[in-house]
Amino acid sequence: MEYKYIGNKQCFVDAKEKVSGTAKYLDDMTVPNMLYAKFLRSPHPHARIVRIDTGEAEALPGVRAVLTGKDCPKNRFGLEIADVEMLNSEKVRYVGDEIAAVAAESEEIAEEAIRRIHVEYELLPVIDTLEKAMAPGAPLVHEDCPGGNIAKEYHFSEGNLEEDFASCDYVFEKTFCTHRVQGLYMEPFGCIAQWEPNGRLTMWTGLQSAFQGRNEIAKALGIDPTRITIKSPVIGGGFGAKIWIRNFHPVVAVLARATGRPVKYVMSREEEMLTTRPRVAPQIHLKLGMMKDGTMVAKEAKILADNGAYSWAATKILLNMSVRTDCLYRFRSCKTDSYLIYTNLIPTSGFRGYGNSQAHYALESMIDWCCKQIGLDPVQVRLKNCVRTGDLTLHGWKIKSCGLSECLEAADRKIREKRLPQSAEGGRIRRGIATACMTHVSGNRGGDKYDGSSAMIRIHEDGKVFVFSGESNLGQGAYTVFAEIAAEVLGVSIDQVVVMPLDTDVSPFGLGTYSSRVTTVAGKAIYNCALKVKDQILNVASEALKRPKGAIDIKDGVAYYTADPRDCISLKKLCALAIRTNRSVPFTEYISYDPPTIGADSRGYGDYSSAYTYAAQSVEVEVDTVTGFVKVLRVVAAHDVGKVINPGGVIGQINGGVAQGIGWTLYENMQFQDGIPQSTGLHKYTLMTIKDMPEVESVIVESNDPIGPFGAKGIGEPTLIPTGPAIANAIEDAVGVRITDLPITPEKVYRALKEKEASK
Amino acid sequence: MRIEKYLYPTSAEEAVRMLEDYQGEAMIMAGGTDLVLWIKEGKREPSALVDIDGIKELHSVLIQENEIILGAGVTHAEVAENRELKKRVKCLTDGCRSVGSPQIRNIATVGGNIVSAQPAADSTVNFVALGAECEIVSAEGRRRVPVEQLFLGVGKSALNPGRELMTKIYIPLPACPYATSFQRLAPRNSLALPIVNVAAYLAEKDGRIAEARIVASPVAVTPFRLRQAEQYLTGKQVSEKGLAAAAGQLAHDEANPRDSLLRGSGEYRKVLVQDLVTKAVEEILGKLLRGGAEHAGNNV
Repeated sequence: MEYKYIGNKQCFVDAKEKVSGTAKYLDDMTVPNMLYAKFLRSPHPHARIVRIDTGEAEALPGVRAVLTGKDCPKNRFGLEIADVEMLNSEKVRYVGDEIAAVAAESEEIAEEAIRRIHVEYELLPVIDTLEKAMAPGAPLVHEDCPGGNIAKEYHFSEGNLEEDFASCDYVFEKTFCTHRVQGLYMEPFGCIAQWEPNGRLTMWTGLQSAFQGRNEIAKALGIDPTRITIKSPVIGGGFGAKIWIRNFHPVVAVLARATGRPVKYVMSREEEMLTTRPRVAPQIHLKLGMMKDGTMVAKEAKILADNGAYSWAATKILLNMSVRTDCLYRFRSCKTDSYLIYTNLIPTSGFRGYGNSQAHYALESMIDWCCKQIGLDPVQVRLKNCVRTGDLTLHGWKIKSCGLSECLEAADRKIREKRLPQSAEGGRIRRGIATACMTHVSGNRGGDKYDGSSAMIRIHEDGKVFVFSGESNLGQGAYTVFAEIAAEVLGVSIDQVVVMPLDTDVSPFGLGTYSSRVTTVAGKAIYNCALKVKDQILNVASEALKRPKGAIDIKDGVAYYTADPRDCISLKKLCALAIRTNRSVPFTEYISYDPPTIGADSRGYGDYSSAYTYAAQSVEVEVDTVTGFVKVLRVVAAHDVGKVINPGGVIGQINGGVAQGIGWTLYENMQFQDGIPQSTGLHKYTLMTIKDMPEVESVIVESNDPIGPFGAKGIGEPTLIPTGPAIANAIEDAVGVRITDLPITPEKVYRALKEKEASK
Repeated sequence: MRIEKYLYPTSAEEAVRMLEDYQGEAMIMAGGTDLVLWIKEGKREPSALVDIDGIKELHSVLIQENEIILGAGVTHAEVAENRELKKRVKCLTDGCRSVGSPQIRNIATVGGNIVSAQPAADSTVNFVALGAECEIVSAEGRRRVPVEQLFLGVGKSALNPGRELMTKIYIPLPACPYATSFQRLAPRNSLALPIVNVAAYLAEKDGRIAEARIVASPVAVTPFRLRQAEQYLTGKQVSEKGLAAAAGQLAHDEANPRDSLLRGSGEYRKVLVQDLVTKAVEEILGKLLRGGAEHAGNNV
């Protein structure tokens, strides 16, 4: 099938505004009569608040409101576990926890007012490790949590695990740890809140999930969600940390109500680094049963995950971490016991990979390590065991399209093709290659809940196509994908398509941009919607051309008789015949689409994603055996995306994901000392720069998913999932040491090399 | 506190008079890459800023037979891209190229880097290794001080930026062959402070090492002279085998960096000092043996 847009080069629809600096982000916005908000945050990881004195702050000229917990509605909020209050009046649980908020005539006055709020604290013992949190009689982060410091636990098992382990030739065990890293989106989070004369609240904020955010703000304020409008400015990245609201969203609304004026709050980078939502940090103990021929039989995992001070989405992340990797290979049995543990560190939440990346770091490292013990080729072992199209996995996933084996073969072949000598500088430099693979989702249904998306397409009298979706565009190209799909289906030029900004009063409902679901699920909604609009157009065209509807198609904005394209009529003329006439055909459709999945049940069984994505990445690294420094030389990233909608977008996602994956593995680390953050600014948090970035060769595998629009599946998160374990595996290939805890710092490699030398 | 005045002197003496007028409450503003941040963060609260950009002598680069005279207001970018400097003091041009980003190198001055007295500074270690002196102007007049003596502690300089101004940096060039090396390990390839850096200078007379200065940082509160390695090398035949490794070992033993959460343990960083010193000495000895020394008379 020849497509005009799908799979072809297409500039992002919003590229011009962004490149020229005219795109309006939140920080570019002002509302008449606006005030500025600032927050007082806890300097202590764990303390009781004895007294708060706001008198001096209130007396400062230019200050319009000073709020503490007593001034805010007492509705606890949070995603699954409601453990968050807007402002804490009794206790603070991490450095950065919100205590008070100020609205003032300028940011400087607001900042000065914050300095004039005096808080007396009674310091409490700091829970900064999982061990301290789990120790008998440990102080509690949340006194009212029924599980003590355990916020949530999961227990999943399929098959006959003990019997299977007993039948295995080998059973291996090892523990892996990953750490906190953050998305570092370019645009810090924030909002503007304004109460309207009719009593409704308007909030401008760049949420990944505008509708769910709206509901959560309503929960915190104790009002109906339909009293709130969320309007999305252009968003400068999110990577998961902007899916859910933060404390400031409802607090700024309360400040606006208290002052009767609109209030704006944009976080500083330093505040973001204190209070963003980093990756959940788990210890994963794995047990893997294998046969001599490389058959992987049984897998058991025990996970202790550091939740931080509040739960947010970490429960969902732990859920993914607990089950998804069981569906990468054809295991006969599996079992996972996992626990989410409160600590006095920054609350964790979703970050590109949503728990799946941590689990893959463990399993994909484990496989290479086990293969080394047995003496098998880990790529061949993966090919022998990996899932394939038509499989029903242990957790009931129906694999409708799977290009995993093609990805594995391509990545492995290409990394071997151009590899450098294994040794240089007299043996000081050692080079190695290795591969890791992954499975991820394109959408994620929880139980019997909705996992769909809705879309509205309205064609104007002049033939312009307006596309409305409730899903956010983070900068990854979602709106370009929407425009391409609409233009392709309707047969119009893409420059006739406008994807409208997200406004929860106007846009149809969308769950949000997460789970790598937007292209697959929202794209399908737009696809279906466009088909229905096209049907309306064809009806009118059939009347106008006096030809049967089935013999008419639309191309470049012209409806034509397929047997004789000279017999045609423009869409513009059809609009004039249809929309404002007594025919009253609106050329408008609103549809809701839900993918044909059933959702996982309480035991974690069920097909819950519209499509499953697959990838394999191979890397070549070099290790300086004197200093332990590791350099990634090349990455081959082979991804099964179903079908490419926008090749530039896909390559961009791969490059970005690989960069974030390398950063997570080798460079980035949110460090703490006695619970106090040490990575307080960009100078103390090593984000890779372009000068550290290796060459990335992308291989696109098109497995043509039967459900996704034009066969497309997601690509956002999969891109960083295999990068970390592939690097760890390549380091072992180069120098024979296995680093099980991230990040892989030069000093860790150096120490491992010394230990290896000493044990010889 | 608010900054009352922003002043533009055209001579060093005028700048010092302006400082005197404010009795230590004014500060010298050069590139401002440290100072502006400190003022924003409330770490410094000057009542006036004396911008020295208009003082001509601060911008001159003079290369002579026996010395280089750098204006203290010369930027890191100007040093990094100067080919004549690269021929004579390669360690310094390499060091200046490692500082910050292009934007920072374009405005940050070498004098400012010395006065900020951060032990990790990539240009200052090289001035110490080169045995540089600087000229300081105060109300009492002009005086010359070895750069090395200006460092009193982390961020503490013997030069008082509320009373004094650095005008020039003098780098002596020996008549005999010599070579230099700058080595560095950082968490990433740009925009990063070093985990360890090493600057080394060796001069040769009649086939023997006549003079040695090797400096490491940040392994102490000030740029750290590796005296034992220097003493060991002094007097040795340039062609003697194993010199670099032995110097590296001595450097390992005498350096005593502290444990740092962000930079690594002291024990590990001693190993890095050893490696960088070994590499630096190897590079220099190689150059001296191949006749690739840096003095203008030998290799222009």
